[in-house]
Amino acid sequence: MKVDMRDAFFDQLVKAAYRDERIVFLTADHGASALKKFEEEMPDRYFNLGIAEQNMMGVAAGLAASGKIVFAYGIAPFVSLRVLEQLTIDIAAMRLPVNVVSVGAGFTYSTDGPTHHGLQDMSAVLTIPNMTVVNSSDPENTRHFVDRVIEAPGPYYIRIEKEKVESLPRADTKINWKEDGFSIIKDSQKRSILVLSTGILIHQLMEWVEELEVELGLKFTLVDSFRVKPLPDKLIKMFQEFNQVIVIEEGYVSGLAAQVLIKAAELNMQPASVELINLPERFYFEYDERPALLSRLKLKERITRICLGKR
Amino acid sequence: MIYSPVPDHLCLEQKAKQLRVDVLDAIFKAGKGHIGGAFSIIEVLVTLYHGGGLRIDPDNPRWLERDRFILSKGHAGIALYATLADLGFFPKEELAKLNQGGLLGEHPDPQIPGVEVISGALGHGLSIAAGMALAAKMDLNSRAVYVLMGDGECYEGSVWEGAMFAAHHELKNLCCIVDRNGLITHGSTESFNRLEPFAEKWKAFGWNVIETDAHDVEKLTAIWEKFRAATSMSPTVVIAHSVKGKGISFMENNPKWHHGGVNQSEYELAIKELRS
Repeated sequence: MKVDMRDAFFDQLVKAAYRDERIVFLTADHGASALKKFEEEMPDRYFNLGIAEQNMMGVAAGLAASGKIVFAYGIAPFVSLRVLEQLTIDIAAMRLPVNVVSVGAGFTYSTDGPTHHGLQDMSAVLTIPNMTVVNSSDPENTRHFVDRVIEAPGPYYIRIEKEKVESLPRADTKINWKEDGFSIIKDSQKRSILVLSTGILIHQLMEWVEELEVELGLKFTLVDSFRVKPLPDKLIKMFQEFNQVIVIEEGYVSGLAAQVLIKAAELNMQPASVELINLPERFYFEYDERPALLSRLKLKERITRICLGKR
Repeated sequence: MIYSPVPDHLCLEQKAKQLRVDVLDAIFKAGKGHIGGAFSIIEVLVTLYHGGGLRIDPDNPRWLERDRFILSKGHAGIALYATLADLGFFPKEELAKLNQGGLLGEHPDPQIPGVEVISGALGHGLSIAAGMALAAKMDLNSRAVYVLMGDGECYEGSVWEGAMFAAHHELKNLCCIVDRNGLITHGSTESFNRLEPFAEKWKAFGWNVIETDAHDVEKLTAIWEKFRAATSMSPTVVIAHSVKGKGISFMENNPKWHHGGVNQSEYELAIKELRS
């Protein structure tokens, strides 16, 4: 059954907030239908601060420094780029339990143009020490994030989606947060090509790798790297089992791709067999639906080209 | 045990002189520092910390019921360090190691006992203080939150986001002090980008506004008492009219002394003035 990822996150958050009175919700005038319940049933812990994200992050820090667990919600560029200093200094430098909930990854707000595109938000917050960055790909891990960030408090940047999607068929059947931070979505017996991605693009990649297996006669393993920072060592060490690794994401190269290269260097691994497929670093003044924008970038064709070179 | 001194204005003035000497010594040894903006806030700190304005316990810096103080104009950190050291939050010897590999750097951070938050990037403290004040209000706790900003800091738009929020949420337990010395690094606030009418701006944002001489310990002590007893639901801003470099004639009102070093002859002259 398809579930709106915001509903998955906020329904779980409302449940948690009933149990834990420390939880406080802040929004920069951004809503979601599932939030109504929080607002109506716990109005003393729900604050719409208006369109003032810098203040929202400062207030979040002050609340968190006073014993609250804070969720601060808004559109991706405005809860990252606009408040990068507040996230860095007020929140991360003091390791405060503030959870930034960001909606608008990639081309979520495709027709709104570069002001609203989420192509740089994750890259920006990945530069912040102490900040754990997670990226939702289905209702299951979206719900999971709520519980984990309350269990293990700290600063988190949590990307959620506004689309309705099915749960992913996780080959490893579980979401192992502490040890792995990733899920194997499709595991081929013959390990030839590893496709590593993050976020909702995983759903599209599931279709593409099935098609490419038929078209090219190759075997693919598909992995959802839902915790982008810190990337687990285990994930990068897994690269050695494959002839080819393709890292693909709906964002600039400074996102997951950069984290993969940094971690590979840390582990002293040769990244020679790693190919990166990212959105070219430019501003997208093109106004169309998300799938249409992505199709113009010919991501599947780029995977095909890499695979043909390896066949 | 809560530190609750009886305000004695003469003693507070003497303490202010001593803290200026401590600040001067530290900056002289460090080679440079933000001396002008540190000297303009000494009486505010002395009346809050030594004069009973703040409910704190130097033996237990993390006491949960303490009032919170945020030095948002973090570049004046040495003034706060001298105050905290004098009260025994950490050994006074640390002052002599300012910026030389010890506990203390130019800008405060919460590893320093008595320091609540990191500061140095301007325009952050008011929103953090508002969050702390909101938490106290939600918890029905009587702790108060004080935040000290520079007047030049009020150019930051985030200050006014925080000001609007605090008034809307009736954070009567929040006291913002603005060090109105009228100078930014390169000259007068009014000649570059005017802040006036400053008090009216705060009033329009819904704050109780109190204007005072920032170096009059008697007036400041009375203001902290008045703030604590206020029945209005509005947050309070104290516009503290100060002299940058206060206490040393050749530094007073001279933007050159925003940041810099003190040479041997300047040091000797300054010490002589402070001890006169």
